[in-house]
Amino acid sequence: MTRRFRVKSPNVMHETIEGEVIVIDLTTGSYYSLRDAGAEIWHSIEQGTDEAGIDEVLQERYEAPREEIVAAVGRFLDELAGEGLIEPSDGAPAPPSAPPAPPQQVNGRVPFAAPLLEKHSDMQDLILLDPVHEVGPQGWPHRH
Amino acid sequence: MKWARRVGRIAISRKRVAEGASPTIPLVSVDREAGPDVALVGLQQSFDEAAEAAGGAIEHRLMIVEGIVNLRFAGRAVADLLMPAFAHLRSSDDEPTLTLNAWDAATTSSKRPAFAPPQIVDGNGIRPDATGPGVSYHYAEASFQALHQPGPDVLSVLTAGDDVGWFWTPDMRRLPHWDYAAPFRHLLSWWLGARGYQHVHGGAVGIPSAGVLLVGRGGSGKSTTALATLGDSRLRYAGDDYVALDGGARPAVHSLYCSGKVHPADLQRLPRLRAAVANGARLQDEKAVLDVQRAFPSAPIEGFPLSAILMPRVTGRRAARVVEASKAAALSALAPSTILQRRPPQREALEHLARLVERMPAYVLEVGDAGTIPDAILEVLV
Repeated sequence: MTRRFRVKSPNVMHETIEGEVIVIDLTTGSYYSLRDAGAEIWHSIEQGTDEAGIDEVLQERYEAPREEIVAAVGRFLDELAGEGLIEPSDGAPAPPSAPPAPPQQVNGRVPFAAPLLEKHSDMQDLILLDPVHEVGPQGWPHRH
Repeated sequence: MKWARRVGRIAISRKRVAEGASPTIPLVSVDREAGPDVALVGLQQSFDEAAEAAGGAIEHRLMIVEGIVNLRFAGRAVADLLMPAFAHLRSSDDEPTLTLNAWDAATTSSKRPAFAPPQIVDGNGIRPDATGPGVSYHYAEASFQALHQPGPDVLSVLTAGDDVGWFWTPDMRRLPHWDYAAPFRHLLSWWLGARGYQHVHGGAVGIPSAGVLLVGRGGSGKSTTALATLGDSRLRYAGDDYVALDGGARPAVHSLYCSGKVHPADLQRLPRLRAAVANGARLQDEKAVLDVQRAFPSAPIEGFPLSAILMPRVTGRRAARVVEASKAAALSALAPSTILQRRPPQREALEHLARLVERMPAYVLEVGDAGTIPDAILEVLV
């Protein structure tokens, strides 16, 4: 059975700018950059597309043997899940949002490069050393 | 307490936090019978009593980011510590949209407000250190939100109507340098957010008709770049660490603070900043805090239209230069540190900042000799 994921809300936030996806994980302070095939995989996850569907989207767009794309998509989903950015979803697909503009195509399809997850950890110290806790109605924490 | 001993305790606390343990301090109930309004009335009474004991409240009504803010300080000592950062802002006689009350216990000989959590007095607390406040506790309910930082023991409270705020710490003279360089940072970020502005982590310099936002993580050279323009009469200064952004149809920078912060070692590279150092006696423990208005009275500016985003990068070059960069890189340099420094982190900010950044040209500023920085920035502006 094919896998389906969803973005791990609300702690993972993301925005697309000039085709590049910036992802911020509020729990770890890490932030990420996804381009090209990586950005397309992310948008497909957002739209609720399952792994087999993502394989298809990329095969339509990229010039590469099917096995290469399938293996790269599988690895990338594992990596995103391993970073805690996405989680398995068994629900219905999310309502579709506007798909990203397709990359400029040469003879219909463009050469394939395996998606990369560029990770930045320079804000992690802030999260570890200066964490923020929401306090419930029981009030301020303090020592007995 | 000797600094070395204090550092030792910090090391223990940092380790514990770094291991990911939640604070070991158990939650205990406060008296909810009292209700939130009583809490706010109590805060106001505490301020009023402190102000009276200190010889009366000192008020400054200032234009801050297109709104009138009435700053009320309990006595001269408190005002003298917090006002220099706002010395460049115009005063106004108009009705304030926000009133902020600031007081302490030590300089006014008043009691700890009942609303402030009991003081953590031993090593189990996260102690303040030279780089950050440690843990923060945020609490929000229908009528107000509050933030307590037990390390420096700073309490900030703002009404849900965003019209009255309170800022208290036991001894204003012991406020961490990042707090007196940028007073009321969290209160102002909540108030600005409610009014549609973004309180961002970035510096800004420019000319009255156009300016640049300097973005990047701590240590990227953002502050040094902004401060390197001081003394150059062609450029004006809106801040080195935090400014407000108007992301509307005509994006603009608004200055919040005319202070600056720099590593004491960088004063060698920028010797003319020495005249602006406000905390010369504390440089063993703190960054140098600069009173820009006092030393460079013609430099501070209330704001300017935003025309580009610059990401300073320290290079081995002699002459600074600007190189085109991607907007995604600019968003990565601006948004994570802005969002993660907010208390609490503000999720909506990412979208606001993305929509702003995509309308701005972005450049890397390859930093060279400090004296060559203004020319490189002016190249982008004119």
